[in-house]
Amino acid sequence: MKFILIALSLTGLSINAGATDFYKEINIRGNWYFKIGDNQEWSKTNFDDSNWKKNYVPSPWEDEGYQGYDGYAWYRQKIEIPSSFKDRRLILELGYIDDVDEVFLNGVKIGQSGSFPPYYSTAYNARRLYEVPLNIVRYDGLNSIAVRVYDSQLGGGIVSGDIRIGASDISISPDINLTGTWNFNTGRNINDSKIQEIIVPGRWENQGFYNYDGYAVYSRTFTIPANSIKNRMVFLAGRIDDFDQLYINGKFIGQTGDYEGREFSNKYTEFRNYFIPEGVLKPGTNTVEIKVYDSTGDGGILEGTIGLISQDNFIKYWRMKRNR
Amino acid sequence: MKSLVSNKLSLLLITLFIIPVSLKATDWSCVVNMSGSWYFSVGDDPSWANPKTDVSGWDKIFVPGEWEEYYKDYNGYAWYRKNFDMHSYPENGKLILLLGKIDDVDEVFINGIKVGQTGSFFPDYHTAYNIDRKYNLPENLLKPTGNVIAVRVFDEGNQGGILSGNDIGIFYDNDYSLLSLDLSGNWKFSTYREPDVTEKRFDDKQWKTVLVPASWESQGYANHDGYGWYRKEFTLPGNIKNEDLYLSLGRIDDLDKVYLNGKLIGRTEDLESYNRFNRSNAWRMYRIYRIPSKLLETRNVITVEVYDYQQQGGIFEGPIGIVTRKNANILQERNEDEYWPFDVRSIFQSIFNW
Repeated sequence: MKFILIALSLTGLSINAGATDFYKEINIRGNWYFKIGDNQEWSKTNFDDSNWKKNYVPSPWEDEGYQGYDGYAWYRQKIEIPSSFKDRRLILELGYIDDVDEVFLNGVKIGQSGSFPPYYSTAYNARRLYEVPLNIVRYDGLNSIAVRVYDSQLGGGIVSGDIRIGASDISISPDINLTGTWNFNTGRNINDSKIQEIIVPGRWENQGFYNYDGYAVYSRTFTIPANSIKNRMVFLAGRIDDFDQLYINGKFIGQTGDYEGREFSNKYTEFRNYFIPEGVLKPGTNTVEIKVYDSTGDGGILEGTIGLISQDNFIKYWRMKRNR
Repeated sequence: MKSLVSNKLSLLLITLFIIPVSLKATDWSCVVNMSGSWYFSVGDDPSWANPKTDVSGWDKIFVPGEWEEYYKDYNGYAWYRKNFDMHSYPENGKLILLLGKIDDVDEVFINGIKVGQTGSFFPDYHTAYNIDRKYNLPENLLKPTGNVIAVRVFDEGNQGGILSGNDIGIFYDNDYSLLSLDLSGNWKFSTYREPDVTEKRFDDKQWKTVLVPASWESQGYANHDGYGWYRKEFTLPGNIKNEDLYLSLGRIDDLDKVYLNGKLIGRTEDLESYNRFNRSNAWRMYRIYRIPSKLLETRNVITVEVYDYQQQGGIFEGPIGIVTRKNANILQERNEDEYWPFDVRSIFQSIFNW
């Protein structure tokens, strides 16, 4: 199985190769707190893990004294993220995890790969690269990372690869950050009976939809505080594989590529900026739907910061990012 | 639209042979060269079309060129602005704005007035990334000093911006100074076959208005191949009533039949039997038809039936208007296509005398 793993890993990138040439990084290989079993309390920032055993990461837990163990286990770690990492996108890389994992930063779920029982599917060959929502980061302070792992058989845990937090491109700070949990269902339209939660960004193949190609809908609500719709807003929808349409409050805002899938183009390399016409957003609860068509391979909202930003801040960000 | 996938690529290869050749350099002289540094900002705001909006804090980038050179990975809206003076100003004739190829859609304002658009923005998005931008400038728009041009651009993905073009700026169209009556501008247009469409009394009020000359693809008829009908009403100026007159329709992609007040006065056909390799090259032919004087009234209607095989279609390149015999000869000499020697012209074109 491991031999295959190496061969397949090249195709398993969910964040493009460029993003892993980090501007700078914090290496978090080493001893992590570790406990077999499963308890949602263990995701929490202030959970007292001082009596947990320590395991080296990355390494199969079979090599760390848990020979023959299959099932759930958790890893916990605390790291300081210096303020010199501000203004950059942060990517949490956890190498390869056998088989399924769910990751929490400061108690907030930021990603998942594979699918836990009862709808089990492995993601053992996917390199774990998780976009960190910057609004939950504590700069110059300790940040807790908790990783819930499920292993079905043989080697289990955070088994290999680079374990680090990398500073990537200059970050964009949305006024309303929608990186994180969304509703998701396959098909062209919202289907309440099929909706399940998914982490955005992250390819859907790693989140319970292994090998799925075709149509899917991401949806969620967000709140705009009264009096905060000052000027034009831009919806940042990230890099989407392959084509998509954006609707806000039921109104069509824009699309990239041919949603009907008749004409292929390489739009999966492109980050989406959707300009919202005036009058679409309203104070209070708003709904957003991103309808995606994936022709083959990775599918979904793959990468990037997701959210709404005022056009003024959007322009400031691009001026800062401009090539000199 | 940097990397074209295979079907687009093959399309591109085909276009090398069947898309109109670039505008003839000899017919244009540069009045204002706009290649070089422009103010630039990402984002979108209608107030940026207003010359009074201060953009001195904007970035500056070089035109033409993809904006990714400065703004890597940027997709969406951005605006270009430039101030310019008119150092020389021709007394008559026509001024046109050339902006080369823009990826994907653009809308152009000069001194706050919209002068044109190619492609279509959301919610009915259509790209026009492979179309050379050419806009006729209305009279009395330009001032000797202190003019402002603003170009709003939307890019769906990959390369974006005012990408390429040898000629970027305002040009003087030498041909238009020869016209006795300029008929370029708004024409009525429809893609539906209707009875009596060639008749003077036909009611075209419900038809859409398009700009002539310009391909119909650039005006909301993306991907339309086949037939299109153009209609234009004009009043004959008194000073040329007694002249021998010709109708110049420039270049039409691909074939046309031209009617004046209900009567066929000229047509350009494609003769497959002439040379099968040259089929669908009729678009290269410069159209100029003699107007039978007895058909002319004070108020007149021209109907042009156009058939387009594929790609761009319509009356796409001028000059469009009525000329005297003397000037018709000059226009014909200037616009004659090297591709079709004069002696084959009659095989393609029929001119009807009534």
